[in-house]
Amino acid sequence: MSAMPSYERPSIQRHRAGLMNKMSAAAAYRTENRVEGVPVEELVEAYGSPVFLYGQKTLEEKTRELHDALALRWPRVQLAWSYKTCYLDAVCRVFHAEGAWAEVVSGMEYAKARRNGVPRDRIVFNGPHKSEAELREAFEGGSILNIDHFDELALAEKVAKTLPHRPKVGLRLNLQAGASPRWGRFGFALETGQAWDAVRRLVGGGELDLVGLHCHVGTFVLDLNSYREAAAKVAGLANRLRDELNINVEYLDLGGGFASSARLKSQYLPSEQTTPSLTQYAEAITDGLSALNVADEDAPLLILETGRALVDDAGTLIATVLASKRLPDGRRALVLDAGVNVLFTSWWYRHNIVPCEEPRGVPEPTVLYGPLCMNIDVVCENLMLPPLEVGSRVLIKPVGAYNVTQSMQFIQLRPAVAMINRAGDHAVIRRAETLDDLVIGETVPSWLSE
Amino acid sequence: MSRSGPPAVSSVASESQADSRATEGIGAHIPAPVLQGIDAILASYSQVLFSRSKVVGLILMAASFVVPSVGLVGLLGVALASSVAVVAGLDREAVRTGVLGYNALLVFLLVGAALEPSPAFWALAVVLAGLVVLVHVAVGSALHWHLRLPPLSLPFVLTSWVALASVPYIRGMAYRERLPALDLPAFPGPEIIDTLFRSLGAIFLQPHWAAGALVFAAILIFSRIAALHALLGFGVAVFADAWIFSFPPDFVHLYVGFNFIVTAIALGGIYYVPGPASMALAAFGSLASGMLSVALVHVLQPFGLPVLSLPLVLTLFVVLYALGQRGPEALPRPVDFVSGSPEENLNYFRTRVARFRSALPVRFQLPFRGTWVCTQGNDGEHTHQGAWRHGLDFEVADREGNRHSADGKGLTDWLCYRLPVTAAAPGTVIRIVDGLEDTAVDEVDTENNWGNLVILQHAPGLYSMVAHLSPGTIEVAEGDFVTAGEKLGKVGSSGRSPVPHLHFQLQATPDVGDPTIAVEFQGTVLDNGAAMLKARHLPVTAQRVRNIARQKALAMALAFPPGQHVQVRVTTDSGTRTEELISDIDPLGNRSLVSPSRDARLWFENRGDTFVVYDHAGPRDGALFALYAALARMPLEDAAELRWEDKLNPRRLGTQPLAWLRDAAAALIPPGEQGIAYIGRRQEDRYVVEGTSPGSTGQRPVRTEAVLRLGQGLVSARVEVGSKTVFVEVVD
Repeated sequence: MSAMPSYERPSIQRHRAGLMNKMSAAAAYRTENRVEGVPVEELVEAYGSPVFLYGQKTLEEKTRELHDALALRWPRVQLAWSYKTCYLDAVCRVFHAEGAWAEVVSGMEYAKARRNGVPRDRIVFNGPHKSEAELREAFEGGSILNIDHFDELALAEKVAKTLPHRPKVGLRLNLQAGASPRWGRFGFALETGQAWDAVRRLVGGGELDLVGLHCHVGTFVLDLNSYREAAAKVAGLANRLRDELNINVEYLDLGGGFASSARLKSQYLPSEQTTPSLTQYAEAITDGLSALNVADEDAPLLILETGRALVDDAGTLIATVLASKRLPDGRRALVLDAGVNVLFTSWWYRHNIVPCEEPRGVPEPTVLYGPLCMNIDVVCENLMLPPLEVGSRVLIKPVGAYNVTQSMQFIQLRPAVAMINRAGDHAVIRRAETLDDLVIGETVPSWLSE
Repeated sequence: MSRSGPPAVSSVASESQADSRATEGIGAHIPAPVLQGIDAILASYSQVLFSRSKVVGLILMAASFVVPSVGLVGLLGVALASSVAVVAGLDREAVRTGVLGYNALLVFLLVGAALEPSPAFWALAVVLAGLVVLVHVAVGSALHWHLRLPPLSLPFVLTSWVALASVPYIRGMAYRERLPALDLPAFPGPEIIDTLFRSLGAIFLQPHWAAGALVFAAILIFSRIAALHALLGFGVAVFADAWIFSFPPDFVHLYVGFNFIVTAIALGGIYYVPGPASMALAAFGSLASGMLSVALVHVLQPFGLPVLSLPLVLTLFVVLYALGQRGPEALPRPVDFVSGSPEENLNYFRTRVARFRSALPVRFQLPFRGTWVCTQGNDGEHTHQGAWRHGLDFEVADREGNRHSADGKGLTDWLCYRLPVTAAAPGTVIRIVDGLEDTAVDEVDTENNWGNLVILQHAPGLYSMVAHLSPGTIEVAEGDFVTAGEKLGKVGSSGRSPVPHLHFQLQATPDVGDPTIAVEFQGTVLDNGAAMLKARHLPVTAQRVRNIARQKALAMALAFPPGQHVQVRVTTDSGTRTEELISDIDPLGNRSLVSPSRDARLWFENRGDTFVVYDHAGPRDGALFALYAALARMPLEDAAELRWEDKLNPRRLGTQPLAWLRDAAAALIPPGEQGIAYIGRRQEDRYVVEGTSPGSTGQRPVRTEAVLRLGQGLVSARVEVGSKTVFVEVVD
């Protein structure tokens, strides 16, 4: 950075003011210089930039809101924290302290849940890949395990033969519930009869007890009817299990997929108008489940593996403007110190990007780039922003879901993550990486080390 | 004079009980059937005085041997009758517990005392043994099925009449001149004591002070309350003799004295819970049986038949049958459970009242799911007044206490709006009102006060109503049977409802607008910070309440499927041994755990949302004793932390020093229950329940701990009473 500002050729911009019209959202912007009540500069000073911040209060309140909304509508409910959405220990422990079980989709996540003190019988084990050893551990510990495909069913039966007790399993279903595109790759298809084949195969095998049904309609599902329909179809299969095979399932797992307050690039309306509340999701699911013919005292446990909707809004990323430049087409471009390396969700989110200080100047269409030397590193293609000076901060929200678990050590090292509690105290929950972290697993073969 | 209800330890225990006994202690070389026979004979003696104790039986047997020839006939008669019953394939359990033997004992004592021994006598004995058993079974089952009355000693009276009346027509048979006991040396002390003892001895056809003294000792060992009532009955007899009746000489101590006494014992603590009311009843019954004695002597004399115990039998029949027609709350309270000694009955009853008493015959749960807040309790400031004072209003509030979002002007802003409303107990839908629109916020429909509603009938004269439902949301139809917790409809704001809320009330009559009656919910969790379970609860305004959130893993850990065998290792201060516990179920569906080696039984029930232990019979160093104290009441919710309180029976716990002394006055100054506070915590895959009781005045402190592996079963249980510890571990 040179002390003297460089000259920039003038450009002509149309003034746009006023309310939302059919072409775009309102050009109005606001500024924020605190995260969960803590000044941005204090946080940058403590952890550097960029930095991810998680607000504990938001995590807790979202969890309670969803749990209470379900518990008011169904006699037995259980949340299972979706580890892949953010499996930082501190974040997981907030959910576990609120009573959530763990939902994992790999042996690594299973081990991480155990590390966080989750008893094995409070782990829901999903996913298309579970090794023989992982199946054995889950069975021995009484975990809830949902079978994804016939080959896994065969492997599970092989493991079961070596165990003293008959393990309990659930079946993952995929079904047509209005959500588009249909997720057909996980579980057994309901409408084609594959799911019933799996039931008969499982029951006929005699090695496993069928105790649950699982279904996950999709991700960022905004259509409540999808949940109502999926729940009704799962309930229908549970009814058939009881009527034809005398099997009373112990749990129904409706997966996750609720939207957060983020706005998708494909979304026309702002999220306040499109994203259903957690209560509405709860209502849709329990309405659908009322198709279940079962006495209240035998009602199966309703499990939800909500991830994004609980954690997304709790996460904020502080980034710093590294450079400001004019593109050949006349648009303004800002280079931030956080790009797609840490913001995986920028592929489909239109993030809320908020300047921390009141900037001077007229808002103009701006494109925000990350720090990578890669053409694809675009955080936001078009945003009405006044000119921001180099070194000024912006908040990027919501970023709590998936970004931390999916951020890459690509060109840049991964930044620090901190948590802020209700009292405004904050602490690092994962420090910024150094080169040592990057190379820790590397070795140079002997013929090169001479 | 058998007691009603099943005996303490039934068939499961008895199968292996004799085997285990044969391998330990005194009976090491005696075959099992012989030991069982001895048990049955001793039990026949103690049953005459409503006891089951073998010690009591032994002392009473000794009393019957004051004239050895008479005692011997009695003993042989019991053995003969019991054998006949076994050979005839009659209820072995009744034989084992002496229920089939006591009438035979009395019959043979009578003929032994009244008839001259001769060869013909022994021929008659075989006939009599068969006859008394058949009469007992026939009369006993007829009385039980048609009148719900115990046979008492009616079979003895009937069989004895047959025997005595037929004597003149049997070759070689003759009456004795006088009862042989009358020829023994007289009592050296005061006459009143002599009369008391001779009256007591007369129960065993030995109207002699030595027999009576033994009988009195046996009664004292059995029960101090019974001893007190024996004296009461005798006092009534002496008073009646002196002031009311002109009894013939020797009448009290020979013929009727014991009728006064046994009637008093039976009414004062065996069939009714001891207390001032039962004591008054005992005095009255005693006097009535005296009057009946005179009357019966007058009636029966022309036929040459003695009254025997007929006065007390008839008195008890009339009293039991007549008072059986009353409601459940009437005094004195009937012993409607497995009767033990009067002291046990008193303690059990009081503990049961403290733990389970409810004015309602049906268990109600809150009519919703999740945590709600009571916004208007009984005698509320708005509408719950007068005839409708027992109404309850509920709404939902978030954890900050907000009952609505936004400004609360729209119905959907209210958190409870359109939430499911459920049945508070199983019942039949008898009335539905639907189709009334939800009124806007702050508006009311005073014409249709209750709005859309559902009325359920739960029992005769017991109805519940949920009101102000949203139109078109009612999911049941009139005539439907619903189970507890089943969805009825959704919360609305129809009728007199300024904001969406749920109104719940109980009523004794089925119509809309009828007066309310008192309501009480069972298994309610108060959710104001630390969760606290209330076995019975009436919500008050501003209280956050919910039902127990039953989790299957905990229910499975306490399932004890019938027939299950559990091996446990029991460590006490005196060492470690193993016990086998067997899960049992009786024909009525009552569940229990049995420890055959300790002759112990623990009654329990899974009530759906709670596991409760009702009672324990057996030694206080056995495995089941530890379970009795550690698992007394278990909500089947594996919450992070849940607290609850319970009351335990100090007699069962053995926490009262000098209990013997207290017992004498217990009927008038009842003993207190032992309060105990439990806290349940989830720890990894285990659920740990700790109980602490500081013990009130005169009670030893109690500490308990139970560890359950969720979804699996019991891991361990520990109870510390004073300085004594019993620790039980389940052996895999």
